[in-house]
Amino acid sequence: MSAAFEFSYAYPFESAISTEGNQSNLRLATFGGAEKSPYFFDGYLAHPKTTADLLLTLSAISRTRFYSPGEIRERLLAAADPVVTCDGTQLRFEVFSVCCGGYARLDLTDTAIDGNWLSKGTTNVDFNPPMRAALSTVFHGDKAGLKIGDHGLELVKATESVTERKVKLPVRWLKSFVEVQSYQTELKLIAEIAPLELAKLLHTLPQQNILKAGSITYLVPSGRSMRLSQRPAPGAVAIGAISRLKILEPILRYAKSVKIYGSASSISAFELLLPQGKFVLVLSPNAARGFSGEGQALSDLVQKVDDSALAKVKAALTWQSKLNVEQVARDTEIAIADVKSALQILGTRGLVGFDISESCYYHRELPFNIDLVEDLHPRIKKARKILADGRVRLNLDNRTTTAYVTGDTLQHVVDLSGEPTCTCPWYKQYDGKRGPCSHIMASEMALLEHNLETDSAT
Amino acid sequence: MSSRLSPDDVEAFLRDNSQEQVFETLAQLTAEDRTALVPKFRQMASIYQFRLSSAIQEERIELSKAQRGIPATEEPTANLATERTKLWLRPAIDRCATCLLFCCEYNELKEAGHTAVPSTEYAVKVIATRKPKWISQWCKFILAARSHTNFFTVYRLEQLGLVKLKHDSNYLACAAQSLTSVAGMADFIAASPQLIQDVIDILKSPLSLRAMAIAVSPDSNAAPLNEQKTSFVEFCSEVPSQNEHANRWLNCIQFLAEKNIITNDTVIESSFSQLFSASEIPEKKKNSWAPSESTTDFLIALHDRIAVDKSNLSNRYIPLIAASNTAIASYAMNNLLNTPTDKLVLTNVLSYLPMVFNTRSKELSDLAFKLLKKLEPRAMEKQELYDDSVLSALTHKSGVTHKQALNLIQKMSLLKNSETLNKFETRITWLEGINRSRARDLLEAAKRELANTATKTPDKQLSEIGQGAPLLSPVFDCAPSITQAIEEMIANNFNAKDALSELAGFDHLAQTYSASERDNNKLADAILKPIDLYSFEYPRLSDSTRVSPINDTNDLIIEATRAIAGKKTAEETEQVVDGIARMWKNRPTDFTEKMAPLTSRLEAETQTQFQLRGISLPLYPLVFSWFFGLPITQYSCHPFATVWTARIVCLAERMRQGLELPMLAAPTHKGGWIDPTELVRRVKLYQQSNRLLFNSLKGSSKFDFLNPLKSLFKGSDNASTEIWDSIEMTQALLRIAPDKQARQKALNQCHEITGEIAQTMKYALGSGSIDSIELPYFQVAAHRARDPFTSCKIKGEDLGLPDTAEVATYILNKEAFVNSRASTQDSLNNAIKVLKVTHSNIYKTLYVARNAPSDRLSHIAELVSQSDYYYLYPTSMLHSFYTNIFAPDFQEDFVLVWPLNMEPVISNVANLCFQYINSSSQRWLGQWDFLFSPDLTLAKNGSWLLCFALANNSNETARLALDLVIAAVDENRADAKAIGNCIVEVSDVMSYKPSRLVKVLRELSKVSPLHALFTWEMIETVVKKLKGRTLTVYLELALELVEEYGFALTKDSEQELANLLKKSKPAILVAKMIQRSKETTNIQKRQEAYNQATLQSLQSRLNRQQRWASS
Repeated sequence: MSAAFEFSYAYPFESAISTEGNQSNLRLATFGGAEKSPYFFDGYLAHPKTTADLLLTLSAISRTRFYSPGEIRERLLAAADPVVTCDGTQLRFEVFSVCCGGYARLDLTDTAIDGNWLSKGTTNVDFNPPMRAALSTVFHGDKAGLKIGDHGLELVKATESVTERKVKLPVRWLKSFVEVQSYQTELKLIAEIAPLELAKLLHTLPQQNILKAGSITYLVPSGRSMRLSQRPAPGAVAIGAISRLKILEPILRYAKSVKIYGSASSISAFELLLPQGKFVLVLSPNAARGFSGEGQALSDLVQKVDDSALAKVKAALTWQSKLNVEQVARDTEIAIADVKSALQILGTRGLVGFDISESCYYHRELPFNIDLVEDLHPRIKKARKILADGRVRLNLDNRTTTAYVTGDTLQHVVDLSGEPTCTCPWYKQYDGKRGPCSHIMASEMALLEHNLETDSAT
Repeated sequence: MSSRLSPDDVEAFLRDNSQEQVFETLAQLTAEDRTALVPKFRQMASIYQFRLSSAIQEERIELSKAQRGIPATEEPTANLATERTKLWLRPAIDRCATCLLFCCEYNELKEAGHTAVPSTEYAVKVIATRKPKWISQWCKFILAARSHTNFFTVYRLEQLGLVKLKHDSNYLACAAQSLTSVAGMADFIAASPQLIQDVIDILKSPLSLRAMAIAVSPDSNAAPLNEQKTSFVEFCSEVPSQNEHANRWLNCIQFLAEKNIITNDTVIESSFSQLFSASEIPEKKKNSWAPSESTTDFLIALHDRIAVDKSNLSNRYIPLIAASNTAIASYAMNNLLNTPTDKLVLTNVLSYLPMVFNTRSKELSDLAFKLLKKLEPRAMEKQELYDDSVLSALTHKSGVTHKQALNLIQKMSLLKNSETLNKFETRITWLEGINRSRARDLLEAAKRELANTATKTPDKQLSEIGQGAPLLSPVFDCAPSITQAIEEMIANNFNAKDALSELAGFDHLAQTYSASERDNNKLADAILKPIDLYSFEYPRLSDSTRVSPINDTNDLIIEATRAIAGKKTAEETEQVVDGIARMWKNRPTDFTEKMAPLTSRLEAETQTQFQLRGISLPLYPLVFSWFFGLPITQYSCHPFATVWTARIVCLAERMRQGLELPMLAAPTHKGGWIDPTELVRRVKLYQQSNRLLFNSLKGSSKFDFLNPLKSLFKGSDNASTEIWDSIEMTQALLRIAPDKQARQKALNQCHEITGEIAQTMKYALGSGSIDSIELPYFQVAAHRARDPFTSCKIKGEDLGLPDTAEVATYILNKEAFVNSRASTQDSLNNAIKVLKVTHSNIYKTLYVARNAPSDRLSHIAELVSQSDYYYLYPTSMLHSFYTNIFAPDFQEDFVLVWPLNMEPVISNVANLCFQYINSSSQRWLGQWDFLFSPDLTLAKNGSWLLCFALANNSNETARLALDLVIAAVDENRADAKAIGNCIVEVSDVMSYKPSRLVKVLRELSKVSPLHALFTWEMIETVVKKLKGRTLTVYLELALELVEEYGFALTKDSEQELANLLKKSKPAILVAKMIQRSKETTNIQKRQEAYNQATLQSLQSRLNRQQRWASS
């Protein structure tokens, strides 16, 4: 499988901060999406320095590789520009860390920006190093304009020069965008604490960036606050490689409050509630585990769905910032459960994102070809091949549902009676925590086919 | 030379012709002829390279000798090598490279690498002659080598218009590396518009700028720059040194800027951009993209030279003052300090200053205070921002910074309004010791002043970050009716006749609380008194803790797979083995199919030794034996033997005899307990199969079983069979639950059991006499099963081992502490004895084989025979040398050996905690889950364990220890004073920082009033007895507890501490503590804390009593 695909960011101009008199103007170049280089917004930053710091932290995450398993590729640092979605009321900037173990989103609402909403959509924005350096010099008292995209500049400069950066976007980066939606739906709000409390906890972490990739630390209630613990407890949040949280330190002072989310699978999320919107950081269970390899969305990807229902739900997407499931169900005349399933599937296709604080999906369309994900996912490909080769034999009796799957060298036993288990080494290693193995997926597909055949026969 | 050059002539051709002649000759050849010569040229290139490497090596040796004053060697070969190098080898290599470049296609050139790159002059001539299609690719390829020659070759080709390359980061980096080798580089660059643009681009990219700052090592195999420099050493001197390389660039850029060839603004803009990029990466980070310190130094030096008037750039330095890269932050800060105050934009500086205190650098915080002091005259202009900056210093890590901030706050009277006061109060919890106390004083004084101010402004809505967020539910906010709640609880639950309530300590605490003359010291003793959890008076067996045996083959296969994968606990693995023991003959039709993946995997993994560790290891041969129905000895097994391994061998032996019998010692309940009635049932089953009769062993002395054991694999006989069963039986006896009713019931069922085991069972269950037991190991096991903490007499010679006839006693081995500091090796050897038992012969060295023979199980038998008593006297084995060494791997197993007495296991863990006290790793910890059992006391050896673990250098270990002590305090199973005494005992010899321990204790005190009281008792014990400098850190924490909870020193403690040197820091702290504890508010706080702790302790004891009662 190819580990990366060629992607060309072709911006009509370079993002930059220009100064006119006593006003600085932040112009973010856009590329991709429904339109080639969309023009979303033209206005002012209400809190220039805060917003600049938030954008810098977001950008820092996209350039951070929390986990470095040996081969470091400098090109990866330049690989991924943030994805921005405009729904006409707010701007959502999304990024992944280079290692794909951290996902961050900055939502800027109308309290942060004041101006004209020109269009809706999703695109990439150029975050080049000089622009980042200039962003750091934005101060509180400055009057700062903001433009996301710019038709005028595009027309003038399109024929002259285009800022083009050909990068090899790692497939895992793309897969992470798909996986993180599935994980976010699992997250539950565990606690809300004062930012100073979180800052205090971060101060207790080692000074040097000792990551300890696989270590899980728990945040547990203690007295009037929370403390770090090594053991799970009621009300505890499991955080993998907690040192990664230190990236939030510079912007904690802007937050009014911090919401902490946790899940059974040790995914954690930290939501900084800001006067300007919110900043969300979602961390994978382990610094060595990017969201890309988790495989939680795999079952959704292979799920057989009613295509017409899926098409109807897809047609109902109009850049909503909150997708009300009941409303969509009413509009499309589809059952609520089906709408939920459809949204899950659309999430795996990059068509909706998930907002943990609102606990709902929102419409955004990733400016990449998401079909690649399904095509390139080795486990799905392998499962389909196993099924096509007829290497799955179901053994159904009244009590148990077992499948015998012939792998590359061995025959594996898949028990589908309850939570699926497999005797393959991959399953043995991860214990089902990183999604189903190819044998389980092939067996589930075979069982689904069997049930469909049985249904049609009766 | 004729145009008909044949491969045979190549060697002479290269040797005898000049470069020009070689070029001319090749130019006359046809393309086909040139292609035919390629293999020979490549061969020659390899030969030359080999010779060159050898010559260089010899030359280096000679040079090294000369540098150290050693006379040069007289051997002719060395001189010959040098001569060869100087005279003909290098030119020959260059000629060969010219030939290769002339004759090869691009792929061949790539394969040949640097051996096919001639000097610039001939590379250009050849390329100009050939004009190949792949010229661009080749140029990019040779640029990747970052060689000076290669860059100038490409540069020359560009000049001639033969190639047009995109000047990407690689090109620019190569240029940055190479241009410093040109004499008069500034003029050279100034003469070329293209190079000027390249220099501007180099300044913009972090990658190429790094090449400006850091010179790469010259390619030792590269061709020389020119023919004049024939010596390798001479060639090296051509390349500027690291410092010279960077300096040449600095001089060059300064020259270009002065001549206005590159504008100052361009360089300044670029340097700011680069400083910003570099500022995000802390120094010493080893990642490849991180600028090394020399890059940072270069950047700073470059900026310093170009930016002459820095005061006009002050706004640009501001964002850099909080950089992660301390060098850059410090540079920016110094520039601001050198800027006239009126030129600084106050809002901008003050909005960034708080971020400086986010960094942990002491140097930066000092500079920040200098800046704050400098801005002091203008503070009024932006008072709120100024206050924020100073208050932010309170969140810094250093106590010195806190002190500086408090000084400034006091000096400038910053606490003038309620908003600042609130912010200040929020940050007080960040302070420690005397600083916190002083901050409280400042706060109180400010509050009073504010209250007295007639023109007091109404309180504003808090704008402080986080103030708006709801806090977590406070655990110990004292309810107004707390006394009433305590009294109600006592009234509803006090029952002096209830043994469980008495045992849980509820009654004692209730009585102490209700006593008319309530003494806080007595109350604290009652609140904190640990429960006797080794008592036989409370039940261990309940339905909720019952373990379900595996009764289905399908389940057994799945569970066995998971056990092999290490996904099962020791208790669960016991159930898997028990399942195999009972059902190994049961083979459903698809048994082979279902087992195939498991056995295939095992077969594959067996090829790699030691892949599995711990309790899952012995399952290897067992699963094979189960699957193939063959003797276990045919399969590999780890040579390291434990009781667990021996029991599995015992099972294999039964399988060989075709018996399906349960494991005698398989636990029936969690915690490793066996229901005694179940054990009786199992024994009967065994005896029905003619096992457990022990006739052949009677009358034997203590080591008589060795010979039958060794002969086990030569042929089965009664003696060997009975020895294996003895191991299983002793283990089963040690797991009999101390449940009085169940023991009595089991005793009544013993009448059907016959022989030696009947006497043993009866004695273990509380009846009969030890003298009626013949075999000494059964005597010991039976006695330890009914009386773990008393001594007994056994037949025959006393083994002199701990926890056999005599009970183990523990002493602190101070020598081990001293030795551990002397050398690492001593630490390893002696640390295990830090907490040692008072039996000298326990440290018998065991033979642990690294290379096991092919018949692994025979080998285990051999091991067992050498370590005799460890298997038949498991209570003694728990103290052995090698349980310490291998404890992390086998801890789970050891925990289940003797659940009635966990002190040996706890002492092992304590020893490990000491041994690795300064390690930052927690890998050696092993499995600690058992320590969190609410029915395990940590009041004995557990105190040592906590003392060592809480002071551990590993954050994870210290955190885990904190979790443990929090749970232990909650459940009344730790002893505060005992831990305090341990700290005192080791304080003069221990090699750790007490502040590490105090940091964790501070966290403990924040959990609840009960935990705070526990910490106070511990600290008071310590400060009362401790002498020396380390006392201060403990007193600082004590002062914090006095201020937080109002705790007060006892009269005894005050007297002990009265001898402190006056005006010493400890004496000041003690005086402050005494003064504080007498204040009315603190007396109230103390009462509330004691009440709350009483309520917590009562509730905890009641919960325990109810849990026991429901069993």
